[in-house]
Amino acid sequence: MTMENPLSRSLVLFLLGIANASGQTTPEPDKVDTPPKPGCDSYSMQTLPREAFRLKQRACFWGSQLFTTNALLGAALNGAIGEARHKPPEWAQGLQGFGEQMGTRYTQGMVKSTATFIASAFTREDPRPKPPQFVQLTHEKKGCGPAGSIKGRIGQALVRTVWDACDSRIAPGRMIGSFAGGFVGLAWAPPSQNKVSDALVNSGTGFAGYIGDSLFSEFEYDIFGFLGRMFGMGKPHPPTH
Amino acid sequence: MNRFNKKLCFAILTAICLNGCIRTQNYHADVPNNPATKSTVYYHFDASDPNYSGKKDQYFQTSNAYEAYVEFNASGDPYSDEKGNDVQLKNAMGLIQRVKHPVAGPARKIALYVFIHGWKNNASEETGNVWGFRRFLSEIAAQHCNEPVVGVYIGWPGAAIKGDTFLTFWDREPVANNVGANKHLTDTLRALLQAAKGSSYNDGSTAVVVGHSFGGIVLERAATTLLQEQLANSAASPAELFLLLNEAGAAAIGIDFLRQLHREKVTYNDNDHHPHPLLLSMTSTGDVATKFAYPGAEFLSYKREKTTIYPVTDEFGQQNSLPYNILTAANMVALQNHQIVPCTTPSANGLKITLTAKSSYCMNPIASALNTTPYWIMQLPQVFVPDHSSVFQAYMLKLIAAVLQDSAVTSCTGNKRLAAEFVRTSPPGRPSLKKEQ
Repeated sequence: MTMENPLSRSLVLFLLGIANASGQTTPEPDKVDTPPKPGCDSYSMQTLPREAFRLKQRACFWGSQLFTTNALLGAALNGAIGEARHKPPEWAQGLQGFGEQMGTRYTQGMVKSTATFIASAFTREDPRPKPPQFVQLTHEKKGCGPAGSIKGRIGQALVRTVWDACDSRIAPGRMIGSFAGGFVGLAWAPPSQNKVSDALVNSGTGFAGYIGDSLFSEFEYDIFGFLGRMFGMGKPHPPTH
Repeated sequence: MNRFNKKLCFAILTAICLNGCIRTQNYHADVPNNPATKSTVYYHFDASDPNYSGKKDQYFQTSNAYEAYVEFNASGDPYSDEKGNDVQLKNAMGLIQRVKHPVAGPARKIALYVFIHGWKNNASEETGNVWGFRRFLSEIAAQHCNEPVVGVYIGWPGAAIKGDTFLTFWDREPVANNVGANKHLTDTLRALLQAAKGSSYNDGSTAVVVGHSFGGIVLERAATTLLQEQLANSAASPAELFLLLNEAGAAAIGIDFLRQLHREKVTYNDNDHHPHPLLLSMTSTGDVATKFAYPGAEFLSYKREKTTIYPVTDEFGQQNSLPYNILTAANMVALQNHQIVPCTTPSANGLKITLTAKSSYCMNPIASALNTTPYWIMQLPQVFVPDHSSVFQAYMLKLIAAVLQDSAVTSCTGNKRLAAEFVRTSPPGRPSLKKEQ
């Protein structure tokens, strides 16, 4: 067998390649790579800027709102309230009625989140209740960045449910989602609850959820911090000798 | 409910449970032809890369850094191949050697950063600590313009359920204890630090080891062993800094070492007698997990150490061992020796951390502190870390950078952005570990 034969040469190169690959115990580190694209890990979901918060992250954020304990508990609580008020009266009391109430609330929540996800993906607004630019002082623009006073923070938390202060443009995603969630109930609501006014009330309730979420996100760490500071533990005692 | 529906419900519940569980595995096992499993990589971070950064918000700093992974199983044993070789450690050591001794060119100093992740994390790309550490590396590498930066991520099974909020806190703590108490972790850390800094830890390269949450338990156990070895010989510290962030372990883990530092009057000062932290434990004021859940659970735990009543109050003003057994060090007021407060000028031996042109904080010593050792313990305002899990936020990176610059670990003097942030204009030299003879 001579090396002039292209087939033989290929065979030798192939065998050398195998030998090299099996002998190489340590991968070559000096080839420069770019880091992988961010996924849906908790750090990226929290810290990626709006422009880098892409469809993948948006979908994860949407998914995290659909099948959560909070979503189920919220639907159960609202269902229980509806059951207690016996509203709508057409729905039976008891376990079946509660199931209908809870199912309705959960479905409305899912539709609200889904419509918000789709709308905010189109408008490219940030769906997170407290985007990173409101945590860090990276923007000089008024309203885009953490506010100083409590009043300012409340105002900012309310405004950012409908307005993107960093890009000075409307953020209609949550509003659209709330209307979708409110009106979808008309599809199965009994006659006493299938008027447009009822759907508008449901939409308002859905949007109030977003406002509450935004306010809670603004102040949740302060609440935890206040609790943390309240209990100074392990203080020293004066010497006993 | 008929029989079919019952079966369907059972199948759905089982599927949900199985989907929610996280299998313990070796994520960076260097599987051939699977680049995602590589245990060593060399990254170029680009501040303007639109995959991470916005128009005004930079995610990474433009820099290059090496990244290596070393993983342990739930018993604290390193993962090995079919032949029993600890491939990941071998690769990490090989990487450090190649970076220190390049084929083309003379040997050079390197900066090693080791990170031991915390609760709800592992070494997979799907967990936040991997990304937080990556961003930290890009930030810190930008400050080491003269030295290549190698980051080693120590993985262990810190996550058990997807989307968990609090359920696995008590399930993962024993695993962290296993990993921390197992000699393999200490041996691995020693091997990595010696590979970077020489067998006596004094060849001019630098190393910083960071532990978060339960990773703090893991680190504290290993770090105190390594430090005690060096203290016995009054030799150089194995690392320039051991940093514990929101450590979720009882103060009792490190109290013997703290007492030793106190008793032997150990200092960690630079040539100008300016003190620096050797161990730095910081816990966010908003970390409810270590402030409430941890002491509550430890108090109720049947495995809790029996409380010892001291005949006289100890050096930190405690009358019994209960606080050490149920509280974390940084949440124990008696052990705190520094505080971070908004300021314009730091107090004597304080350190200024400039966040923006209008906002800065100072890490000031507490004058009346009982703990006067180089084990610095303090609370962390929420502007740096808001809660238990969200470490490596942008301001936290600035705080760590300020501490490292003050300890002359970072070496990029031409970095004007950083130079403007510090009080001292000239680095006073690296601190050294001493004890009173």
